[in-house]
Amino acid sequence: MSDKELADIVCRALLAIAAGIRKKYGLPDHKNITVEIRETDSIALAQKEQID
Amino acid sequence: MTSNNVIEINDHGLSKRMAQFPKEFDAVSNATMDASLLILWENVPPYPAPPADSSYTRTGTHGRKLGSDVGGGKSGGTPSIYTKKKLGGSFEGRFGTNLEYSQYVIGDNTQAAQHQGRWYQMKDIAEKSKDKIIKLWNTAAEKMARFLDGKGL
Repeated sequence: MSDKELADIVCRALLAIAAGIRKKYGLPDHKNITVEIRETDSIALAQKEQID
Repeated sequence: MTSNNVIEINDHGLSKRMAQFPKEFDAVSNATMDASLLILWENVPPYPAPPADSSYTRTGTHGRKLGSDVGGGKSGGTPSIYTKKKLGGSFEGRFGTNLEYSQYVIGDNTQAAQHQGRWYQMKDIAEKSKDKIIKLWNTAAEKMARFLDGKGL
């Protein structure tokens, strides 16, 4: 097994552990990292960050 | 769950005034959203230089999921999140990545300590693009206003 393959396995395991801890303590997961553009007629020009 | 940056565009009631002309409204809005998403895509920064003592061979996966290579910009295939949709009288576009670990690399509030100060954050793409995107929508609004004045699209 190469170092790269081993690193990949370790990283996947760490992600699984992180997901488990998040689940146990009810922490939100933020899998999708995005910028959204919303064209609306109700809110003044603004940029804001939100968690949904 | 999603961590989002939101750029909101106020159309100052034009969508309501254009309600009688859905075809024209959709055409202008679709084209403007396409151009807006393209600006976000073009503003993906390049990868930061690796740490001097790093022996890790980069896979390019993070950039690839954003439609970019290590040099940044629109240099790869379609980003993993790249959508537009109509919601009632308004339009919504989304640009980003669904890569599991990207939250720890470029997430605004979730970036891992070792990446802070080295890797960009998603909000940097939004901030760099915002003014250009607003300008595009202002031009679209002027176009629709001229149409409502009977001057065509």
